[in-house]
Amino acid sequence: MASGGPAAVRRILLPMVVLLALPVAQVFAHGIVGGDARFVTASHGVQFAPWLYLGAKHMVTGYDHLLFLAGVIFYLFRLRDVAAYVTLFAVGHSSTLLLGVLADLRVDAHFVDALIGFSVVYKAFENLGGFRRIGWRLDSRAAVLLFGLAHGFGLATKLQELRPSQDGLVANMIGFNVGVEIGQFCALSLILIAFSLWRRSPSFLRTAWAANVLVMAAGFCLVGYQLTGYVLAGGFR
Amino acid sequence: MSLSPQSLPGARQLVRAVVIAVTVAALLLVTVILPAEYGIDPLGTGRALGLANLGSGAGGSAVVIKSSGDTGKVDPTAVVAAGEPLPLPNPDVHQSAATAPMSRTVTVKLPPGRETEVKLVMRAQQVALYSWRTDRGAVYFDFHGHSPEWNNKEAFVRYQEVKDGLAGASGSLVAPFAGEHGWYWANITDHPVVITLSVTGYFDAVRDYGVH
Repeated sequence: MASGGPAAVRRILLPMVVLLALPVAQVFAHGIVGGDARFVTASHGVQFAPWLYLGAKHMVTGYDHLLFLAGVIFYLFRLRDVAAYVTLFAVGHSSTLLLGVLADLRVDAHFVDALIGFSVVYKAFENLGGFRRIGWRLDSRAAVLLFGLAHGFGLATKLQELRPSQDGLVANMIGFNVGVEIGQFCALSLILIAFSLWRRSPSFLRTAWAANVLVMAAGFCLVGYQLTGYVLAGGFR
Repeated sequence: MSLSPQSLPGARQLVRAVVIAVTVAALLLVTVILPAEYGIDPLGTGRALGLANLGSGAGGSAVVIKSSGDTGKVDPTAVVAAGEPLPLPNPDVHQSAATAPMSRTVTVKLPPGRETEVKLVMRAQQVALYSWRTDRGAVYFDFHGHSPEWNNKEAFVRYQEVKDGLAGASGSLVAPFAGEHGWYWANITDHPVVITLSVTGYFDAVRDYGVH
């Protein structure tokens, strides 16, 4: 093994890039903000393409969704497994996204986001072998589906806060949902490429442990951040 | 199945992982995230790092005028959450009204060397916008207010005085107390001047004291 040159660079830099790029790249862009929020509030009628774009953008820039996805596919080596889990996640979040907005179900945004943070903690703990150690036999497919439902409610609450027009809502929501799937596919492709490079490096097993501890820490950060927001908004009063 | 290629972790190893994760998260939350997002800064690290007033407006304090009638007093109010409206320490800043604001226009013809006064009868904290203009030349004016019990000299304040005169002025007034608020004009030119005053806002009456 060369002690310098490209191999060493890859061994050290790659895990760092993968870990840092996910949450940091778009840390300022979560939620639907600025001009996008004005568009959602002001638009009327069917506007399929803009909503599709918004959905894709929300997914690509939603660091909580991406952290969970990264956790889910962390130890999935076969593309068939990746497809199966991601489909379950998509079915989960699509149903609550559409149901939440179309049936106007209101859930506290901080509470849902805390739950999403918890899903990240859960997945990292599972990746660390925590549940097998404790002896809990959890069906990880069911868990991904269930947490997918929570992520969909998270998307729905953010859209509802902006009070989108009832005019053309169904078509727009389907557009947004399709956009979410496209965005998820794009983000997932990048994560998969990075992971497959990372897995080839001999340091993968050592860094994998640390990476999942960091992902769990990030999940706890999300939980604490959102629960504080929940308390400040008078959630427990 | 998401089977890890690793062997089953030891209990101590697992506990250590969770403890590290919780500790890292707690440290980040207390030192960086809560100060930046909500202005909750128990260790003062947010202030030290300059995170206290990040982008969204949360995590700091906003200066809110404490009393609309006393612009000297301001009151910092903690901003609790991004995107959430501030609780207002002074409800007078907004006053809902049963009626639309009134608009009045008063025209006074003032010969050289003569004086006049036009006053708005306002209740405390009522708001009026004004604009006045002469047809030609500058007139001396004294924009002031006094309480209705003028003889008792309870309150007498000056908002603006221009001794060399102006050909017009515009602005707004939040009545600091109930009483008469308005303009004393003196024609300091050598020709007659027509002063036209327009007022819009909330007041009970316009009092024209005539030319003296």
